[in-house]
Amino acid sequence: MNREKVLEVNDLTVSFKTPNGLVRAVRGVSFDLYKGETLAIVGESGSGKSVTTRAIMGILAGNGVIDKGEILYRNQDLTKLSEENFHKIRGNKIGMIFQDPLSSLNPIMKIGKQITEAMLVNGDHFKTRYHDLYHTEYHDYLNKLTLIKLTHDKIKYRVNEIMSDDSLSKEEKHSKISEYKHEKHTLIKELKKDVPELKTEYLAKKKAAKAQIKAEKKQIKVDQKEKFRELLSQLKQHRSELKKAKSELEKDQIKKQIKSDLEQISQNKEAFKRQLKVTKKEAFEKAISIMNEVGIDQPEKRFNQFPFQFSGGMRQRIVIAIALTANPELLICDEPTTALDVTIQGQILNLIKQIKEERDLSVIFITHDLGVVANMASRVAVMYAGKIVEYGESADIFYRPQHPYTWALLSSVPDLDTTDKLLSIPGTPPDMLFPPKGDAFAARNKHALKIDFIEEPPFFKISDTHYAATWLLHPDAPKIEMPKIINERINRYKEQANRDVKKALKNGKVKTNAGDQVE
Amino acid sequence: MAKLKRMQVIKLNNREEILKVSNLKQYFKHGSGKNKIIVKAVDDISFTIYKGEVFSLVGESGCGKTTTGRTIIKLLPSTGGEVYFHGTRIISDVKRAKATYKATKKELKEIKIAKLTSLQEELKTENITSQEYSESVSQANEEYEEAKLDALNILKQEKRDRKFEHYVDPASKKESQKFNENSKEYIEISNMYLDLNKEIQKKINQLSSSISKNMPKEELSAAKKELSSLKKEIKLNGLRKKQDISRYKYNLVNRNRLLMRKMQMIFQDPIASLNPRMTVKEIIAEGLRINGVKNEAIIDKTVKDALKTVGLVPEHAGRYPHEFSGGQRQRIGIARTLVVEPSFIIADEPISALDVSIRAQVINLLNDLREEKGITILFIAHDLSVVKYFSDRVAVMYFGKIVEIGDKDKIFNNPFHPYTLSLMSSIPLPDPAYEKLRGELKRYNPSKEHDYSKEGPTLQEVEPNHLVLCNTEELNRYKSQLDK
Repeated sequence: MNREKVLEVNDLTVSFKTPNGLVRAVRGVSFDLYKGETLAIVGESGSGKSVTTRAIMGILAGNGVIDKGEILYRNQDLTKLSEENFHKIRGNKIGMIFQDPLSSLNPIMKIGKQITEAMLVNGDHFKTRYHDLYHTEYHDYLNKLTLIKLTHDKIKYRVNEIMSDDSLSKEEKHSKISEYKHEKHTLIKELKKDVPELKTEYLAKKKAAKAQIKAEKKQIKVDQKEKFRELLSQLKQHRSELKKAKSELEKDQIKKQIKSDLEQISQNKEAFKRQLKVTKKEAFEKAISIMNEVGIDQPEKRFNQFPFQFSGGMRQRIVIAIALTANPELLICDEPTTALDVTIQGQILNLIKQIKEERDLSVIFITHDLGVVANMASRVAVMYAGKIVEYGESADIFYRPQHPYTWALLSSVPDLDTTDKLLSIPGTPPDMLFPPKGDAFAARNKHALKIDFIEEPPFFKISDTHYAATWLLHPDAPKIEMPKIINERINRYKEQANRDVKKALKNGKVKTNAGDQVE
Repeated sequence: MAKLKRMQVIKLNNREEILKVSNLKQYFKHGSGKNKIIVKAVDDISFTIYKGEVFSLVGESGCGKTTTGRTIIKLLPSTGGEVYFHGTRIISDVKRAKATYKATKKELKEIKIAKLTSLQEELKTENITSQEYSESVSQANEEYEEAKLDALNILKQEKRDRKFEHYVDPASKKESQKFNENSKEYIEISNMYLDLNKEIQKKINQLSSSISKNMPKEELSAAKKELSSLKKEIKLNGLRKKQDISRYKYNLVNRNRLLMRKMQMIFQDPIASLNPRMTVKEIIAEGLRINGVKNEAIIDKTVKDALKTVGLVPEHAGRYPHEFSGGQRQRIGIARTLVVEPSFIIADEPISALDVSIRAQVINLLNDLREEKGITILFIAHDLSVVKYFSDRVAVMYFGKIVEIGDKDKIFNNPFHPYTLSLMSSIPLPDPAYEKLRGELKRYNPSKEHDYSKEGPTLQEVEPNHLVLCNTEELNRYKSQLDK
């Protein structure tokens, strides 16, 4: 199936600089996201699932660094994007919903203002057009500058690496460093050659853009003035007619005309304003329609209320509404239902599903609740200690799990028919200051093999859609059955599914019979 | 296997009431005058918890399940209703008691007046002499005063029970004041230590006689060491005796407190419920100190034991809460409740704030505790799959009222109330096929589901040990459903 790829993450590595050292939060994550699909990322807290999505959104904390890898959004690498450029994507193309709706809303700001805020701030049409006009040249210039800076950084990094290599003697180190520096400095010189040219180009373009915008604005204003004069003269005429009119009937008619004239004038004014920017009225209308879409009753009344006047579920709806105002193509949901009740959780999940289908969104859904994943996801990635350990279609993960960590996750949650003792995962997730050697889950895994502690397992292919990183799948590994509790559960589900299919068939038959009778 | 064990626990201890809640109410008032709003967070609920079982309160947030727990443990003063713990009333309904006192007073007065008028008439008709008349009048007056005093005493008792945990019985206070060297218990305790000391003295004598300079060096030093430790023990015993006596005296006075300490609570958020400035040892020992334990050695030992039972290492005692993971923090919270040896624990959503993998650890820990120590648990939660796995009886709450209550299997196999049905339909399961088929959720809308215009709902028994909030018409419908 040839689908449109929206997002591609390749070997993403993120670490955080802390006083204690470098915390390696994400260690080489790769996945693709296609248009209109939901990818769920599952894992314990601290497994790096939130950090991954924050890196995609470009909102890592100040001490977070993307060491390696690329995030390709429509073939544009987000990791190398400047902050100004990112503004165009963050919020507009990629929306995000956070976990706690209370803390992601401003408590002293009315809901309506919060929904319309982004629209109004980004609402100056001419300003955005002006930026768009010289945008490519400007960013070519900026990218060149950052490239030079990155090369400088690379030199520093490499020099440090060489200095800390104990196998080399002092002279060797020096020679190596000078060699490397020479090589890189020539590269930088070459890069710097282009800079002045790029700068003049971008400045010229900027000037041209300014002039163009000015002309366009002027034209619009002139047009508007003409129209306005016409309307005004019409109004004057009607008013003089009113003075001359004799019978009551005539007067009434002219009064009506004057009223319509006044309306037209105000509409004309509004239309003129809308050509320039998003007006408050326009934003209000759009906000109301979106609030209706996310299922908020009486949006006009709710528009002027504060967050504390909303229940948890309603607050989450508002957050979703805010994310939708800019019409994003990709929606990242970071545990949107963890803070909510079961019944409300169901409503919100259904809402997200419905919006996804209506707008054909791609969704990245982060959660640790496997029930929610089963409900939402078309594909699932299980993360542990900053790595994806298993990924596949949701049926693969739930009916044919292969990685011991996925087993552990599945068996640690009771469902309605569980009576045996739950299998809890012993111990705690590893400290990512010192990422463990080999398989990160080995220390908590009772099926761990010797090699798990020495070498990291590669991804083994199970089917075209299903991969897992565990040595257990190696042909030489001992065969290990998945825990009894999951096996039983999956069998039960299968039985249930068969029964449901039969039932559906039966119902279908009943229906066709009825149809036959009617005919 | 685990299941079998649990069933036995329940059967053995069947029908011994630990907690009885009757008509408990908790209203919150807001505003005044025109804007006055009364929020009925808990509205007239009654249930009983038997020994060794896990009783679950389920419902959405805001339905009053946490408030119920907090009111039972007296973190909030109740608006009405009574709670009995181990057969003793710990929460009383003063408002109702006042009303009944007034009514009885009025009744008694009427009786007295009726009596007096009849006597006067008899006096007029000269059936009785004036002396007899005055005698019977004074008798009637006395009776009236006596009855009134009784009624007043009942009211006073109710008022006392309102501050049950702070009340000290004057009689026990007197007893503790009388307690001195001649009391029976004092002699018992001192005798016990005397015997202990005698034994130790014997050992010391043996050792000191056996020690000679001719012994090998190592043996000699070992013997000396033992000798000094034994001598220390005698000194310590003196201290222990003092402490035991003061503890006995404390227990005499603080009986009510001791009963209340049998009830403990585990809070939802392990981060917010632990003081970040206290070490784990201080946190866990706080309950002991409040309850009058002063011996550092005893505190140390109990803290370490508690840490071991919840699966932490004694070395953790010196650390601060932020150094632990979420699951470990919740374990500290559980250790804090266990240290005072409770018979009943109120667990207020202990696993909601935890990670999936750690939830299983905490559930297993709670399960072990109740199997080993026979602790009864009131489990407050909104996750139905956990509730079904963990509890024996379940009560479903909706807007301050219990809508369905009964044995777990009965409720989960035959849910009747529409709210319970909607709750059950919203449980997400790790089964994609099921989730795809589920479709639209059932939402509970009381005004659509019920018609209470003719007859209001009450809790009624549909089958043994299974009550549903409904009226007669609905009851009949549920019963016919059950027969099918």
